[in-house]
Amino acid sequence: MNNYDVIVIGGGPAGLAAAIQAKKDGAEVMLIERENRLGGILKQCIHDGFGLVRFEEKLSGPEYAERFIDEFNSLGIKALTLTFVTKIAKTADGFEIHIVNRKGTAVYNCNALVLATGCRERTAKQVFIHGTRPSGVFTAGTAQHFTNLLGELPAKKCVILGSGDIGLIMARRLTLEGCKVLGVYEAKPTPSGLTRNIHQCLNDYDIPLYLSHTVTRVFGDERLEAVEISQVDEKMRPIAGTQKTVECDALILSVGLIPENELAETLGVEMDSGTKGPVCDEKLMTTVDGIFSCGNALHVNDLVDYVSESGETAGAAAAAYKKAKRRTVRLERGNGIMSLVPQMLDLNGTTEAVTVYFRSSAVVNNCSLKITVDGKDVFRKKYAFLRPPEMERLVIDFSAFGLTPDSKILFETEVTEK
Amino acid sequence: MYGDVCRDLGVEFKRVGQYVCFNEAWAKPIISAYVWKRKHIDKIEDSEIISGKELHRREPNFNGRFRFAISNPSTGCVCPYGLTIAYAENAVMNGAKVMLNTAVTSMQVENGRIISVSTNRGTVFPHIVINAAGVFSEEIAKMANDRFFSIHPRRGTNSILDKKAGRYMHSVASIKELAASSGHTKGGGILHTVHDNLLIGPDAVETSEKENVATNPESIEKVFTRQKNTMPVLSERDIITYFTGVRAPTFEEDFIIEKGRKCENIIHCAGIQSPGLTTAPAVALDIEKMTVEMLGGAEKNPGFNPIRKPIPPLRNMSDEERAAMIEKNPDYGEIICRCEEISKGEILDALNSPICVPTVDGVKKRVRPGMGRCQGGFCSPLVTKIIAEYLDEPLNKVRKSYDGSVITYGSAKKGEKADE
Ligand SMILES: Cc1cc2nc3c(=O)[nH]c(=O)nc-3n(C[C@H](O)[C@H](O)[C@H](O)COP(=O)(O)OP(=O)(O)OC[C@H]3O[C@@H](n4cnc5c(N)ncnc54)[C@H](O)[C@@H]3O)c2cc1C
Ligand SMILES: Cc1cc2nc3c(=O)[nH]c(=O)nc-3n(C[C@H](O)[C@H](O)[C@H](O)COP(=O)(O)OP(=O)(O)OC[C@H]3O[C@@H](n4cnc5c(N)ncnc54)[C@H](O)[C@@H]3O)c2cc1C
Repeated sequence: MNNYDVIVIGGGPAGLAAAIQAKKDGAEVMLIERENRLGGILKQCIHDGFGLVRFEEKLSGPEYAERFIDEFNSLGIKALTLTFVTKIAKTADGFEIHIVNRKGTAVYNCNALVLATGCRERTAKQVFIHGTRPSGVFTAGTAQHFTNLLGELPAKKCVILGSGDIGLIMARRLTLEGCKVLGVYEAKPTPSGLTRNIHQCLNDYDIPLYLSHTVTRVFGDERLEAVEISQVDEKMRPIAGTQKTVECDALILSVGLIPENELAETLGVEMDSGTKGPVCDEKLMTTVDGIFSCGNALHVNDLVDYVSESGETAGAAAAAYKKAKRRTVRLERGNGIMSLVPQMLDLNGTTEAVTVYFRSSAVVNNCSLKITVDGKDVFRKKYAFLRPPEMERLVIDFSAFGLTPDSKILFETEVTEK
Repeated sequence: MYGDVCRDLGVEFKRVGQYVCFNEAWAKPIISAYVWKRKHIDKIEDSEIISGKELHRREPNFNGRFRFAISNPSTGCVCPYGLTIAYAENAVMNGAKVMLNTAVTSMQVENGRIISVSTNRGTVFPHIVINAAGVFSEEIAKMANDRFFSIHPRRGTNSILDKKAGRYMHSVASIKELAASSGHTKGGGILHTVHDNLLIGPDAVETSEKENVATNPESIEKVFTRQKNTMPVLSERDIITYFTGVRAPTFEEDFIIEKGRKCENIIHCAGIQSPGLTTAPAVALDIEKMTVEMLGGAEKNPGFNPIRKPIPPLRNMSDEERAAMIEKNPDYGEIICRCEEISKGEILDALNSPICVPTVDGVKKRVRPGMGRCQGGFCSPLVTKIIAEYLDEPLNKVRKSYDGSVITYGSAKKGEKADE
C-alpha cells in the first residue's frame, strides 16, 4: 500500500511523537527515517537529564527515545528506515513523497505531511574562522558521534568554542574520557547553554569559561596544532592586540543549530527569520495547507520534552487535517523577543488554549511578557528573569481578545522595575 | 576542445556564458571595436555587446545600473579537481604510473643531462623530465641546473556559497573597471559552478610563501564588497566554505613552455597561472610534440583509450535510472551525505577508482560527501567508518588528507558504546 493519511519525515523524538499521536487519533501513518535506527540525535546523547518535565525522571537520550520507540512499535506503525526522501511534490489531493533506499526508489502518497527533520550545526566557516585546513576541527555533534557512537576519541587536548549545550556536554564527556579540555570560549557576554549545564559540566570539572572571547584562526598543516583566541567587543568583533595562541589538537564548535528545512523550502513553505523554521499556526501547520512542522525543524529546542509536545500537536492536527479555508492573523515579535512560535493563528480553528513558545533576545530581570492587540494591553505575565538560552512556554487563551484577520498582535518584553 | 575532452573523460562541463559588465557608457565604442576583433579575427563568433537592459533581463539580480556588457555565451566552467583527477585516472588506465606523496628532492645532472631523480620514496632514472611543478617549478629547474626564470607566488581566495544562493545567477560575471586597472587577474567575479553553488572570487595578493594557503578575513571582505556591486543580493551569510590557492606567475607574467636551455632532457611547463586550467589541453599538445622530438620519435600507442567512465552521479538521475542502478548495487540506495545526496555506493566507487586515495578529503574531492551546507558535520564519521572498513583498519588509521592529519586517537577509554 502506498497511500497514507499522514506521512512523517524524521524519526527523532518529534517525528516519533507525531506518528504516535496521529495513529492514536485513527490515522494511517508511515514514518520515514534516513538512518538505520529510530531515535534521531538522541541516539548519541548518552548523558542524562532528558524527560524531567514529561516523566519527572532523569533519563539518558537513548532511554528517552526508547519509551517512544516501544510505543511506536506496539501501535504497529510502519517505519521505513535507512530511507531518504529525495523529493516531495504537491498533488491535487495531497503530497507525493519520493524516496530512495537499498531496495530502490518508490513513491508514497499522503493527505497530510509532518516534517520532523531536526536541525544541523553551524560550522567553523559560518563563524568565520580563518587559517589552514587541518584535521581536528569538529562540530560538537560530530565529536559526540565519534565518541559515543563509534567509541573513538577525537581529541586529547582541546578548546571548545561556544557555550551551547552540546559544547558543554562534550566538555564533560571528553574530560571523563581522559581528554584535557583547556577551556570553553564564548563570544557573547553571557553563556548560551542552560545554567544547569554550566554547573554540572564545567564548574564541577574545573573547566574555565571565557566570555567575550572567540577563536579567530587555526594553525597546523596536517593535524590542528593551535588556535588563536581574541577578545571581542560588544558587537562581537575581535579586538586588535588581544590575540593569544593556545596549543591544542582539537577545536570543538558549539556555535548554534540551524533547523533543517530544505525540503520545506522546495514546497514553498514560508520561513521565519527569528526561528529559522517555518511560519506555523497554532496547530503547527505551515503556510502550505497540509504541511506540519515540529521539533527542531520548527525551532531549536533546549528541552526534548517540548520537542515531543510539538510532535504531538502536529501529529494530532495532521490526523485531523481536512482541506478548509484558514482565516489567519499574524503574531508579531516586538521589543525583546528573539523568537516566537506559533507565528500565526487560524481564527477558524480553536484558539482557547494555544501553546506559545518564545525566547527573549537579551538577559533581563524583573520583567514581563506583554501582548497588545491594536495597541491595547490584553495579556501580561511576570518573570523574575528571562534568558535567551532558555525557551519559555505558556498557554494563552486568544479567544477572549476579539481578534480579526486585521488585528495587530504584538509580543514584547518590558522591564517592570530596574 | 574542452567539450570533447570533458565528454571523453566523463567530466561535467557547462557552457554557462560569461558577462563582463561596464559602468561607463563612454567606453562602449572602444569595447565594441575590441569585440569586433574577437568575433572576426579571433573567431570567437558568439561574442557580442549587450545593453544594460538586456543584461538585467538575463540576470535580474545584477545591479541594474550597468550600462552595457560583453557577452560570451560559449564560456564554460568545469570542476577543476574533477578534471585533474579524470586526466590522472585516464593516464593510469592507459599504463601511466602515479606516485602520490612523493616529493622530488634532488637530481643527479651530468654534462647537461639528468641521470636520476631522487625522491623521499626512492630514485628514478627518467629519459625525460617534464617540469610542471606549479609554484615549485623554479626549484625543479634549479635541481636540473636550468633555472632561467623565477616564480612570484600570488594568493587568491575563493568563497563557495550555498546552493540556495546558486539561484541568484546562472553565468560567470565580472566588472571591468576602466579607471583603476587592477592589473594582474580579472579581479575576481561571480560564477555559477557545475554543482550549482556560487563561487565568489578570487582576489590577488602577492606572497613570499609558496605554500601559504591559510585564509584571512580581509580577502573575503574585499571580494564581497567588490562583488556586491555586481549583485547586491550577495551575502556573506550564504558562505559554506572558503579557501586559498597560490598562483605561479613568472616575473614576466608569461607561460614558459619550452625545452631546457642548459639541460637537454627537461621540458619546462612553468609560470602557469590563470587561465592555466583553461589552456591545459592546448599546452599539453605542445608538450607532447616537444617530448616526441626529444625522444627522437615515438610510436603512437594503438591501445590508447581516451574514454574514462565517471562514477555515476545518482542525484542527477530519474527515479527509474536510480532504481536500476540500485538493483545492481544496493549500496547506491544508502544515502550517506544528506546535503549532497551521496550514496555509500558512490563512496565505494571512489575508493575502487584507478587511483585509490583512501582519505576523507580524497573521497570528498571525487564524489562530494562533505561538500554541502553542513560541511561533513553529519557524514564525516560515516565516511571515516566506510574508509576504515574498506582498508580493514581501525578508525584511527584513517586520515583527513596528509599523513599527519589524524582524525581520531583510538578507542575512547570509558566508552559506554551505544548499542548498534
Ligand atoms: C548534535 C546534537 C546534539 C544534541 N545534544 C542534545 C543534548 O545533549 N541534550 C538535549 O536536550 N538536546 C540536545 N540536542 C537537541 C536535540 O536535537 C533535541 O532535543 C531533539 O533531539 C530534537 O528532536 P527532533 O526529532 O526534532 O530532531 P532529531 O532528533 O534531529 O531527528 C530528526 C530526524 O530526521 C531525520 N531526517 C532528516 N532529514 C531527513 C530526510 N530527508 N529523510 C529522512 N529522514 C530525515 C534525521 O535522520 C533524524 O533522525 C542536540 C542536537 C544536536 C543536533
Ligand atoms: C585562486 C586561483 C584561481 C584560479 N582560477 C582559474 C580560472 O578560473 N581559470 C583557469 O584557467 N585557471 C585558474 N587558475 C589557475 C590554475 O589553477 C593553474 O594555472 C593550474 O592549476 C596550474 O596547473 P599546473 O599543473 O601548472 O600546477 P599545479 O596545479 O600547481 O600542480 C603542480 C603540482 O606539482 C607538485 N609538486 C611541486 N613540487 C614538487 C616536487 N618537488 N616533487 C613532486 N611534486 C611536486 C605539486 O604538489 C602540485 O600537485 C586559478 C588559480 C588560483 C590559485
